Amino acid sequence: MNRKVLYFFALLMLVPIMYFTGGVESQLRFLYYAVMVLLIPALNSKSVLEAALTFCILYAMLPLAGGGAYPLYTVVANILSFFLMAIAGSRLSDEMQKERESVQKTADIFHGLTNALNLKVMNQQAKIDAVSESYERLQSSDKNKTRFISGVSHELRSPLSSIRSFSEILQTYDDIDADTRKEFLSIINEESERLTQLANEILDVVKMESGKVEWHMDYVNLEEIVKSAVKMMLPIAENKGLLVDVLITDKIPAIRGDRNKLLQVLLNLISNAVKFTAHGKITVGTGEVSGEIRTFVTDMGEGIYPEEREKIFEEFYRIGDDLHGRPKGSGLGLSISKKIVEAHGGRIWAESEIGKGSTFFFNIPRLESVMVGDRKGDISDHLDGRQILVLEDAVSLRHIMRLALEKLGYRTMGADSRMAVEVVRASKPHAIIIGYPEKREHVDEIRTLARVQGIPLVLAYIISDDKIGYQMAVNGYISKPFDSFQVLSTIEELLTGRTGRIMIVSDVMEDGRDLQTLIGTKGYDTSVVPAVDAINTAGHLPDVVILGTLPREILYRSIVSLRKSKATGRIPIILTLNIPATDIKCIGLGCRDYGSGLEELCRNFDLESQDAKTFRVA
Amino acid sequence: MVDDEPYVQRSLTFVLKKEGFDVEVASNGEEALLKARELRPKIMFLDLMMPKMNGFNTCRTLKSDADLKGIYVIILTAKGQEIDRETGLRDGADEFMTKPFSPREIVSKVRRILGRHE
Repeated sequence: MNRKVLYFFALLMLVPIMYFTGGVESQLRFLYYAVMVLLIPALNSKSVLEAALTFCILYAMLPLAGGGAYPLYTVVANILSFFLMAIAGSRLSDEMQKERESVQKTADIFHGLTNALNLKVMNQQAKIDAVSESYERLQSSDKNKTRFISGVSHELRSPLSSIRSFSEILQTYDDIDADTRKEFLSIINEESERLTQLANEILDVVKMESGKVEWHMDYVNLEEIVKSAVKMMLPIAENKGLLVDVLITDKIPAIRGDRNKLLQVLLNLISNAVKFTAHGKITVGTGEVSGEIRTFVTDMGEGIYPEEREKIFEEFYRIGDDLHGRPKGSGLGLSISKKIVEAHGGRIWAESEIGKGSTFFFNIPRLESVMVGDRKGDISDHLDGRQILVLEDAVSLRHIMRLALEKLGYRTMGADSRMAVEVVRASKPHAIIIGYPEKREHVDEIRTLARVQGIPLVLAYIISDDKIGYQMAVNGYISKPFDSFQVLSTIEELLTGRTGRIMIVSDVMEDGRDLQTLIGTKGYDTSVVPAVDAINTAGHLPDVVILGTLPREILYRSIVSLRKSKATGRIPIILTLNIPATDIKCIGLGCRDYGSGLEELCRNFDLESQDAKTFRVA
Repeated sequence: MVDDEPYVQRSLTFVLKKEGFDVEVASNGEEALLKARELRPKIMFLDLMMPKMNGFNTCRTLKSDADLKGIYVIILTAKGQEIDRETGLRDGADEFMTKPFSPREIVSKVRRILGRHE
């Protein structure tokens, strides 16, 4: 605005200048044209015209002010030419304005492009960073594996070498005396034992590393485990002249754990204590400390140097390699114990005073952190408005689920099993909903990824049929290996407190039997049938049906047939999955009664309408 | 016979003694050098992984000593990688063997070496 006023003023100044230097007839009127030219790029066409008009009016008043000295036609001719110039000027000004705008637009577009490019580069960079991070992790895990393998091969050669030497000696020489012969044979025996023990431990470590261990979780009491371990190790301790003391502080609550594995940890710790104590006492105890069960083994050995206190939990690390020569044992015991304790969500560590002794502690949290998520709450309780990934290969089904979820207020993304891993990595969803797994490998990858990134995994199995439409297929899930707590509480919830009849459908005998035994302990009336049709022909209908691991197609058809029939349509169904319960944070989509799940979600979605028909599963 | 594992000591000592050879043992590098100076063995079987002074160091020290470098050093170890063999030979060892070993082989090797020297 300021410039406008300035130019305006400049133009108007021309008037007195021209007046005082010759007026209408003066050559200086060409100044007007010059100023006009200057104004055109500065102002828009309207302003140019306004300036010109004002100038002309003032200029026209000159002859009136000067008093009739100038002929009218000169004034008119001048004004006309001024005006024509102004019009041309304003047109020009318009053109220039347009060009300015288009240049600005192009500049803006470039800006936009640059920003987009920058964003892309940043994304790529983030991806590269993620990749190089995984690469580094892979490299270090690879290094660990190499170290492990070389440790293993070295440990194996030692006993093998002894076995070979002494058997060859016994073979070659006939004149060995009986005592020496006995000695050599016992060495061979001992080394074979050592080899077997080593092989078992290595297998343990490998299984735990790759997550293939079957945990048998149940309610366990550490007091009982401590007492059993001490009982087993007492003879060995007494042989060495050591005392063993047991210290239990108050009544300890039961916790969820694998009894045998925890016993293994205790045996390992006590055996180490015995190994490294020359004389004195070993104390074993357990008690509750701020919500966790803390168990300890104290010895009166020589202690552990601070640098070694963490290393001793590494694979094949043994104390005294540098000082005392090779001790017995493989060096794997503590690393296995560590894995077991950590699998229970706990921590294991050592404290020590050189010359006085050491104490090994391990904590197991009371509240099981590996339990299946809160069944009481709906996922909507803690996922309001967040972004959810729907993982489903069937496009129409995926679409329906996304629509249903969006109606409930969530933002959704969709992916099929091929893209799923990338999608999860690129845009961490707040939860992943996954249908019944088509291929185990896809699920395993997603499971691991979800576990590592802390993304809750929700299972939702949906079936569809012309008669019944889209429905939540099942009311609950249990997973193998069977966890008694999970199985029983799932059933209890569905039976809402009453006792009832439970029918297990399974074509694998052990599964059916295992389940039957497990459930039978609670006093339910259970029976096992090989196929779903048997249910209809049974005398009494069951109150809950558990479907064992059946082939996918048969499973699907079984559920549909159960739901279709009026008699069995309302019976709650429990599905068995091969996915460990620890990986599933929520089950179902808040489906308590049959049919309420997806129907509730699709409340406003008209399944009868045109759109619905195109969403039928092929 | 330098090795910290008692069973290796036992088996080799037994066999070599049976075949009529004189055998002395040492459990680590330090002890090995001391005994070597004192007893001047013809052959030394040397393990690599030992406390106090490992096989490589012992070998180098031995071979750089004018009095002791005449001793025929055979490295006998569970470490069997190429890099170990190279390092061993570089440090002056005359031979490199891996465990598990056959006592019979050891005996024939000893005979061969001593036979040559005589």
